[in-house]
Amino acid sequence: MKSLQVKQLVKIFDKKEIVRGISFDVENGHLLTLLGPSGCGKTTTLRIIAGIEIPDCGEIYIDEKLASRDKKICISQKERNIGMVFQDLALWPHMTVYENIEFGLKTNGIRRDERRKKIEEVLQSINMQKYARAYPQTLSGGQKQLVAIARSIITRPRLLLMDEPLSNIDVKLRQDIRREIKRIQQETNITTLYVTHDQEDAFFLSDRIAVMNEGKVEQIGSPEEIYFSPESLFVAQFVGESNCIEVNIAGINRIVTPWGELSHPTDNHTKGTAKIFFRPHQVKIDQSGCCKGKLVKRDFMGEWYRYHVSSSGVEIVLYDENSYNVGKHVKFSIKEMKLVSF
Amino acid sequence: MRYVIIILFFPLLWFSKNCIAGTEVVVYSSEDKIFSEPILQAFEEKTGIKVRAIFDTEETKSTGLMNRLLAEKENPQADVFWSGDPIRPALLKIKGVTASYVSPVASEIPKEYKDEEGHWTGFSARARVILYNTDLVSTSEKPTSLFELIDPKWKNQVAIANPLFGTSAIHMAALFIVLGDGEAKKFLNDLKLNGVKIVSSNGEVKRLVSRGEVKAGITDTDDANVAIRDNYPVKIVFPDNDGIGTLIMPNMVCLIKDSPNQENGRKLIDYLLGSEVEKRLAWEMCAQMPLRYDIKKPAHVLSINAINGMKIDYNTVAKKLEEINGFLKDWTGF
Amino acid sequence: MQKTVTLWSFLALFFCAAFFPIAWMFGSSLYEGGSFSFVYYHDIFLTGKYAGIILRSLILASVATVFATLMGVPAGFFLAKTDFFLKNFFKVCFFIPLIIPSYTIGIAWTNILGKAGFLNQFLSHYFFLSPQSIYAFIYSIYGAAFILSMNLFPLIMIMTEYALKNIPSPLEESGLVCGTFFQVMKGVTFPLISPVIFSGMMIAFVFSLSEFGVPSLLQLNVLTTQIFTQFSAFYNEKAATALAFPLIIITIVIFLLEQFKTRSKSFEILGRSGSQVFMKYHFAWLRVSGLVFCTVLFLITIILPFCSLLISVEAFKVYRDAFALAKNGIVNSVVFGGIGASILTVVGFFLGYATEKTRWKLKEGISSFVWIFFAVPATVAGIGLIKLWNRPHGAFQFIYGTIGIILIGYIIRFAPLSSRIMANFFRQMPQSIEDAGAVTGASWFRIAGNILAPLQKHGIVATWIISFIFCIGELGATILVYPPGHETLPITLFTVMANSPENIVSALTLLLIGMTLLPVGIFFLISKYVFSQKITP
Repeated sequence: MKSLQVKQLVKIFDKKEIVRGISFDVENGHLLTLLGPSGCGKTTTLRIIAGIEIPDCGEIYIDEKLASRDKKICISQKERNIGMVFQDLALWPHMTVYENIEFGLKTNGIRRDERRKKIEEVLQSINMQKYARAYPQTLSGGQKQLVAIARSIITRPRLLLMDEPLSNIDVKLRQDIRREIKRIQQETNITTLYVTHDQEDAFFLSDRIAVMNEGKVEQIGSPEEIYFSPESLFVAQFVGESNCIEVNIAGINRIVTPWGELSHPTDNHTKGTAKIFFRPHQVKIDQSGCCKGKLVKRDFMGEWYRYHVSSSGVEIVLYDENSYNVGKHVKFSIKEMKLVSF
Repeated sequence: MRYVIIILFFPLLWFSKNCIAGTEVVVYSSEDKIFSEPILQAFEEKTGIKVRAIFDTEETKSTGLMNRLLAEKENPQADVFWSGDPIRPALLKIKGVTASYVSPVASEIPKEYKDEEGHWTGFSARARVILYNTDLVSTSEKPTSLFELIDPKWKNQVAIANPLFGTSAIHMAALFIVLGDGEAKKFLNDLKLNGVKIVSSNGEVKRLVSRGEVKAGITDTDDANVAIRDNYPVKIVFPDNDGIGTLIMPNMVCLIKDSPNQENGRKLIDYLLGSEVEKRLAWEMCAQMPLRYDIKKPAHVLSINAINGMKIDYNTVAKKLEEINGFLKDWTGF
Repeated sequence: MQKTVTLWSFLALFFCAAFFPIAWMFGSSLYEGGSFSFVYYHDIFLTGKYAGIILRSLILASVATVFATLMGVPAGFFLAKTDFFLKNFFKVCFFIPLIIPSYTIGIAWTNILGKAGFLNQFLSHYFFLSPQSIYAFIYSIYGAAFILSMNLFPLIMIMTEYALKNIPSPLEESGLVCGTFFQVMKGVTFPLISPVIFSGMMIAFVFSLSEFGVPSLLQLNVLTTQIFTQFSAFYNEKAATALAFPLIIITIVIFLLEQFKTRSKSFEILGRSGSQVFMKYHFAWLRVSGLVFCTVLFLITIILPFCSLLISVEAFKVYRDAFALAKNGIVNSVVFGGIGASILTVVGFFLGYATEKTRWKLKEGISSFVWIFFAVPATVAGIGLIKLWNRPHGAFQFIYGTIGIILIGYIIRFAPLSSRIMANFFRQMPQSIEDAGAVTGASWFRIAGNILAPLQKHGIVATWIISFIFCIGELGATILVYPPGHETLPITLFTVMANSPENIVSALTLLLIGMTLLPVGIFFLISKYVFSQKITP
């Protein structure tokens, strides 16, 4: 069953199309990430799904029921049964942690003793029982994050929307919270739509990723598909670091690269130009490699080095664990590459 | 939801506190509150009729009762209008706001202070006087006529309330009647050339003279008496006693047409026109002159026949005022 | 749905209360001798007759605004940004000029600077000023502006202080890293709060434009005194209403200017989160200048005008007399002012929300529409109310004969102000705070009651206090419509002003001040206590 379907969604602000006809759907219990640079329309999409904004065109189905269509809200926010975590968390500063979480339960008319039981449960699961009476301002960044998540899932929503919830905290904490989000999502099995511009979050959390650019979905797929088989130049360059080299097609399954002619599937093309695409870690420095080049730049990245190699008139990026001096001539091989004609 | 309803309807609780008609009378009074309120209370005690009163400010401090009476004409709220000056009732008569009522009590009041058709009746009067500062002006120098004030020795030393409003306006209209338009205009222009200071009210005239900001001013007896009571170095002159005379301005009372409590209104009018009220106003700080000759009064209050009053008809003054308003507006520079 | 219905019903309420009486007045001013006519507008717009008067009104308002800004901005700055001796005392005292009727301040200053006034004698004795020139100054348009500015500077002061306290400290700290104090003030702090200062100036400008008391006292020929003349000398309400039209046009222009100016600047960064700290400076020279400035301001705006009041009422008996005279007025004022302020706060809350937080296409139109009423002279409003609500056979007597009519008067006069204040507060609240409630499925009433209202408590308290002060001081409209027995203290004050002993009038003024400050203080304390249980842990 599909928990969420978005069809041909369009949203216009001030005569500018922010969302330009996007479609995707999310399977029950899955986590889909909308990944894209800021201003690509992903937050707007989220807000339309939440029922905060009204779409100018298109349809939203939640649990296969029509929720919004063409400037109309068909299902009210109450009936949508949605949880949402905001980018600035939007914890209410005049309520305690307990009251913050309680609000949604009260709205749904849950009895007091039942409310208490549920809140205690959720606070226990995020290990924050002792902060129940604290005000949000007194909590650390990570704790606030957890409260915001707890608040959004307390009502057991059908759909959880998360709008860049990790954008304001430091790297180490980010990893912990990320793990926590994944755990909670898997335990509760709530269908989740996650918005971020951070690919690490996306890869770690998602069942599927939709990469967005300028109000359109560029590609939807599993994290692996997105990473290794980008379908557009934008996806290739936005997700991770990549090398894109222009090549000529010499014939069926024959291409001419800067390092010579080699055999590679060409999708039935026999001539013209195309691009080959490969990730830096798909290139290895090895003395038996067929390509030659000169190291022009070296960055220390902790567990590995990142090198820029100038070779046959092009510059590529590769990762290697060993330290070499800049200026050294090396041989390297490209383990895997993909031909794309974007 | 609940609390929104409460907030929305809370004021209605107050609306429901409505008035009880029949046993009350509504009076609008432009006589000063501190003098008129005790009299109205006395009426209430005597008759048991509840008096609901609204008082006015000085003419230039708010647009007040006159505009209210005119605006309420379609559905009058007031039964009685007690005017502190003699012109507004005459104007109201012209505008059709008043009803006719000839009070039996008023028979003792001289007929020049009563409307022929009974739309208004006068009682206790004030007069237009010159107030001068005794620190700055000696008794021998004191002005005894309005026309002395155009003399260069009074240059920039005379204050007058804006003649578009209140008793000051009445005074001007009366001068136009007595002197004729040409003479009156010449007098006013001369006064202006002599640097007369136009201020906002008779109270302001009193304040400026009392403090010695100017040597003399034209004001009403009540303001002048208050200055004397407050021990300022000032004295009163009743101007032109040998000439055109002093302007006498009685209080006036009138019944409002189609008002809700006509009967009680008549009772109140009868009370206000009685000798008791005249006596009381004579003994008050405003020192108003009774229009009856036989009222016992303090020594400093002149009796009405001791002053040479201007010979004018108040209905004519009201008409004249409407006529010369334009000239006065230009004259004041407004 | 709930939201739309609620907001529109409050708009409708405002529309009924304010628009109809005013529209009635303007409608009838276009109707003369049984047919449609521009006769009253012809003189105003097609001849030069009124050009000078309009110009003088503008000069008066501009100069008063500049004076008020020169006093209010530094005062607000010192009160917000540094600590010095008696700071809280000054803070409370600077409310007082806002409470005293401008007319009374005017009398005090003409007393002090008149030829017989002690300050005039002092200045002319020790400085090269002739008594005549000082006297001429106070009776001039600049003197009027000076007096008015003393009445209005607290508004600008409060707004400046509030805005300064909302600047997150990192913004100034990051400036201080590379610049001096003055550079930071000039480059960071004041540009950040300039939209607020501009707003305050705009309010002060419109207030001085529509002010009647002082120009009347000094006999200045400006629009308001002209309107008054039409009403009170000619009993010509149509001409008077027509003369109010330039006032309204000027106000709209000012409003558009403000919109234009604030739109180009993002004010929303201010006060984004409730828990941040703002920067205070503790330079010795700054504290000293704060103390000196506030003391001088205190002397000029409060002690000087008050000394004449205070000197004349040393006797206890005077207070007793004044109290006896004003008893009814005091009770009425507090009750009406309290109810009025509460209604204005509720109306302001929803109108402010509608003009700031919705995405309606008409939003800007609505806020300028509401704002127009700020400039409508009290008398026009009052007469309009009579015409509309005083129907034959007493059909609306339950409104016209009761407190209802007074409250409607308050709404016309001050709802523009209260909604503007609330809008300013709403502007600083992130949208997500409300959305977070909406996604739980909470009804809008629940969101308004449990999230918006508690979060805007400072705004609500501020709106209530300011509304209360203005309601208590309202004279122009109330005096035209109050039913018998419903007089308020300013009405008592002005009706007894003629021919009462001076010290009674002074005592009444002091009573008015005390009576305004007391409920404000009590309300402030209560709200502080109620809120303190929930805020800052």
